[in-house]
Amino acid sequence: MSAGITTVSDATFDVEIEQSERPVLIDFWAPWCGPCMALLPTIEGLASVYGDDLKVVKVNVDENPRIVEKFGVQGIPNLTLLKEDKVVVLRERSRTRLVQEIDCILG
Amino acid sequence: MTFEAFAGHPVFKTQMLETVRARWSARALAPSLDLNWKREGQPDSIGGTLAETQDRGEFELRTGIPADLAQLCELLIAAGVRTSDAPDGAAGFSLEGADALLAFGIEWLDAIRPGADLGLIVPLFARHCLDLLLKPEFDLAAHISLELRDVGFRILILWGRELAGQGTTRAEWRDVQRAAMAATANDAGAWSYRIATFIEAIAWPVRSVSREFAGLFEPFLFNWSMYLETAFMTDEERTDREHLLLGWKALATAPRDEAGNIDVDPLDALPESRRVISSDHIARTMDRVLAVREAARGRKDELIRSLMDAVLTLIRGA
Repeated sequence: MSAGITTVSDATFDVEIEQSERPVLIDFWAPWCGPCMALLPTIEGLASVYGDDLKVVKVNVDENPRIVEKFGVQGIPNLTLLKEDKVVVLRERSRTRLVQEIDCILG
Repeated sequence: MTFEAFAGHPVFKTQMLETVRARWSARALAPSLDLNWKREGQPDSIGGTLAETQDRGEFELRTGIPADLAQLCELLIAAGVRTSDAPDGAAGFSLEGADALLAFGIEWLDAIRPGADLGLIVPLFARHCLDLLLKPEFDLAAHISLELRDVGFRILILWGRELAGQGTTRAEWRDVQRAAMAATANDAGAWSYRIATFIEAIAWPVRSVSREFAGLFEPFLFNWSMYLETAFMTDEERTDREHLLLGWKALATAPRDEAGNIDVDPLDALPESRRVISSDHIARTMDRVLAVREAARGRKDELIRSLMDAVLTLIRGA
């Protein structure tokens, strides 16, 4: 597990994501996905920026079809932010712009 | 986090380097930012072979070396060498580049003192690069707006305080990040886009951003290398290159849907960019592009070697 990032599976989805009291950022990735691996340090950086204000989790798309289908993930890397009933796929990829995008959503 | 290179044991260092040295001498490894190791269809990298893993955390545990340093070194080598398929070759690929650049593959490892804490190498290198970028003699200095330059200096000041053990606040960084994004938005230059996005992306405490630095530095370095080629171009070719960069910028910044698809082709508004990005234009100009690239090889190698020397100086000082 990377610093500040929780690995989530189909089995732990309910507890880790559905029942989270905090907003959740899901990093959908796969080990064969070069851009996903390149993005990991940025995701770790986000986790350090938000600390306890945001839960950051990783979902391996090859191993967790239920979560992938639930969120309609069509391509990776995919960063999806959940806040209450809002589900937003993030467009940015640098930490600076991701923070701006996330801050707008979190309010 | 404190690092201890090779767990402080010279014998451990020698053992770990043995395989890397042999395979690198045989040109059986290819530099990779991803620290490739036993990845299907990809040659093994120097760092991956050293630690026998491509997982950053495992790399650090096994070597006592920050993964960001290994990635930076792989990137610098990759920027100066050419890897091409060679199915008949022993390694399945060939690696070409100046001896001075290829030597770095082992030089940086040899330079590491067992027991050294290399945790500050990439942060210090990042500061060195930002300082270089802001100097009036920087190759692309004329393409950096005053607004962007101001942001760069603000980052440099905050990094200086951090590295001196003084605090910086989240509010200070948010201000700099906002200013960086504003500078990027106000900048329309072809050559400055990659500089602006680099400065914007590194607008964070330097120890924190060092984990991402190699990946952020790569497009900036590529842009710098491309600029060095323009000294060997005709005026028309230089103009076409600017059209190319503007086209790439438009494609990179075009609004996308959730699947990452672009709705409206941004090149519709940039016919000259569309022309130079077309496969027809690329095919017609390929010989000339390769000739320019070769003519600029010496200058580009000099740049990359200077960056390698900067890393070596920092490693030797640790």
